[in-house]
Amino acid sequence: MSRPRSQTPWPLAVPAVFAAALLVVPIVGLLQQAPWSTLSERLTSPEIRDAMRVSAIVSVVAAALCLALGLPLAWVLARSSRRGIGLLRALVLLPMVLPPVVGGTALLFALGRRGLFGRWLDRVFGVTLPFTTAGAVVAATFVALPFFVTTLESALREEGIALDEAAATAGASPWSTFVHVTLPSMRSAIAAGLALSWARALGEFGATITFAGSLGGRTRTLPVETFLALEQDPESAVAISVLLLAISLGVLIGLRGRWLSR
Amino acid sequence: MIAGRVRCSPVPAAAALVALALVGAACASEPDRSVAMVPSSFTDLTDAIDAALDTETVWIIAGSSRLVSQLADGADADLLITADRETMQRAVDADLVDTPLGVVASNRLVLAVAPGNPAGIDELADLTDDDLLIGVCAIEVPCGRLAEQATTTIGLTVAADTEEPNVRSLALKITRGELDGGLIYATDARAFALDTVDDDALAPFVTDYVAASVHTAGREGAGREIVDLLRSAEGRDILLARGFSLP
Amino acid sequence: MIIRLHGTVRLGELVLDMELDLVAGVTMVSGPNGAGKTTLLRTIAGLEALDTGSLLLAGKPVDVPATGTFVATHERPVAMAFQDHRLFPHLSVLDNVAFPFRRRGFGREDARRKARPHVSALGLDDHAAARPGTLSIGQRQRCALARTLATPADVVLLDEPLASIDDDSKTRIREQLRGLDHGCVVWVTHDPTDATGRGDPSMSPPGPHIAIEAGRVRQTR
Repeated sequence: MSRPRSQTPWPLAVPAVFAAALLVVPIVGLLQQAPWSTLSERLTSPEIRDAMRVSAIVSVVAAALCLALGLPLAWVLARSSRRGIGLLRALVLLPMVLPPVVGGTALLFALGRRGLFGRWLDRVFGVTLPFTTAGAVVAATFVALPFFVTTLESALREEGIALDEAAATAGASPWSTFVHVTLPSMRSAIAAGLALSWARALGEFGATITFAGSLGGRTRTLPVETFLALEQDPESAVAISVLLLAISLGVLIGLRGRWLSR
Repeated sequence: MIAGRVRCSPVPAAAALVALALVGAACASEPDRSVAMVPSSFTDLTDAIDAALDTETVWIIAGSSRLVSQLADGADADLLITADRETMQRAVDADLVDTPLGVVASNRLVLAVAPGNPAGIDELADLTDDDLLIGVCAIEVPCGRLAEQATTTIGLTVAADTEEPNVRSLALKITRGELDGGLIYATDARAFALDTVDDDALAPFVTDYVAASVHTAGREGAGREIVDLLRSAEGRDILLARGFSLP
Repeated sequence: MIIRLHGTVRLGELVLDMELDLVAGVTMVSGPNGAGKTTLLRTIAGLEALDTGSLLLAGKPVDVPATGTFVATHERPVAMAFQDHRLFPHLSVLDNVAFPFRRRGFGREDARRKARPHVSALGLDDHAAARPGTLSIGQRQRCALARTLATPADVVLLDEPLASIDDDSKTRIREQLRGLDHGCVVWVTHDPTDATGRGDPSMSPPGPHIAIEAGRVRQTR
């Protein structure tokens, strides 16, 4: 017994097809230009291997920071009923809507050697963030954090406080409730948040190059490498793009269960 | 409100608007103005050139490689100027340009220092100091190639902390004091009012701006007046005032 | 006196006015839907705060708005069974029931040992290792009850504890709950049989009774 298929009204179908085309066509164009025969040879060159190493370190550390900092923040945003929480949420979302270069410039003005907090970091701790791998991590975390926080906040809201209340009546303190009840129930949301923020950190370019600069082996990530390769060796740029595309698709496909089941 | 079954769909109207917008965007250039593709270093020259010629040129300003790529993709232009010979050669090899017009200006490589020179940089050898924050351009861009050529010839291993994708962002970071110093063009040092360390060893290292006329816009001789201006006395003054050197 | 509650709490647009002095034993709470039965339990548990008045549990003030005194739920000597059960989905039945012991410092095996009698008493031995998601609604309610009874407390709050229990077990579990000598049991119910313990709703309920009507919570008898 087959179910009747719902008809898509044509005023929806036509724009939908255009939208899908807009998203798919550039990717097809990229794949069509790819130097398939020399792909593996290009992707194993010393420069690209360096860039892969830097990207791997920066994106993984940034994702870990997103978890360590983003989970408590998401909890506060979801559970707190204080006034001003809405403002805090808007600030948290800011890096998502800000052009990354603007974000990088802001980071430079705040945390650079001559920056507002940066000069204090330099004077008191001798710590300089720009032009270091740590600086690249900061830039990547800055842009990726909102992705983690929004994923977790909506999951926490959806979960609601019902289980928290049950735990309290069973004698669990708020911290104990967080560790033994909330965290375990957030496992899949945390995985999704980590995957998203890691992917965003991996693809970060504007803020990284503005704040951390670009130096092979230290701050030159795969996206930076792609941008510079476009100047002289476009085929290498396409090769790296194909690699990054494959990684992104991998993340999205891995997440599909979670997205589709909602 | 109209009751009953009304077939009044907004989609055809929306489609028409989108089509109009796209066509309008494609026809942005006006038929009478010259189109000149120039490198980023020429940013501060464009107004002066227009004022001297009393025209309104359409300036396409981008990194030299990008300019050549855009030509290859079919952009309309009358004149192409690149920041080094190598990039112009690529355009010539790809049969994108018409008549070569020679070198119109040059730009020296200089060692610029942060305002106030807090790191006390006073000689080229300071570039090898690991403790200082030094910047150069990435080797993929003309400024970077020139810096590489210079330091290799002189025999310095620069302890660079960053290889910037364009000379402007490098100059900006030096101006902000985020970098102690770096190798940039004389024009950028002038534009950002940065102090430089004089060293004759750098003198031979100069990049040449090469011009060629382009036929894609279909206008014979358009754009040539810009080259003629730059070779005139008035043009030379304009160039020198901004830190360019004469070819 | 285990519960001394004299105060008001806001319930949506309604203000609930409460006057209760309860000693050990089972007290039934009845009233129409939306009257405030659950709110009453939540106020005693500390999930809602009083607007005016005071609440003392086992002689200790836990909610006195005038002085700013408020003892958090987890520090009150209360245990609560919720209408929607609220089992922890990532824990087995046994671990759910062991949860109150774990939070009081017992190690995992000790807590499980202490939890087993409660699991058995509610007839869940065969499902001790199952996750709540695999249980029927009646089994889930029994697990929630087991967890509540495993919580050491002076005050046990039951919100419709038998609503989802299948009929065969109902009488037995009802008797178990009525026989609690935990301290003070406050039992919200729709079913008059819960009060009488026998199938005859016309018989007057034997123990103390709370009626909630028109925003007033009054003890009768």
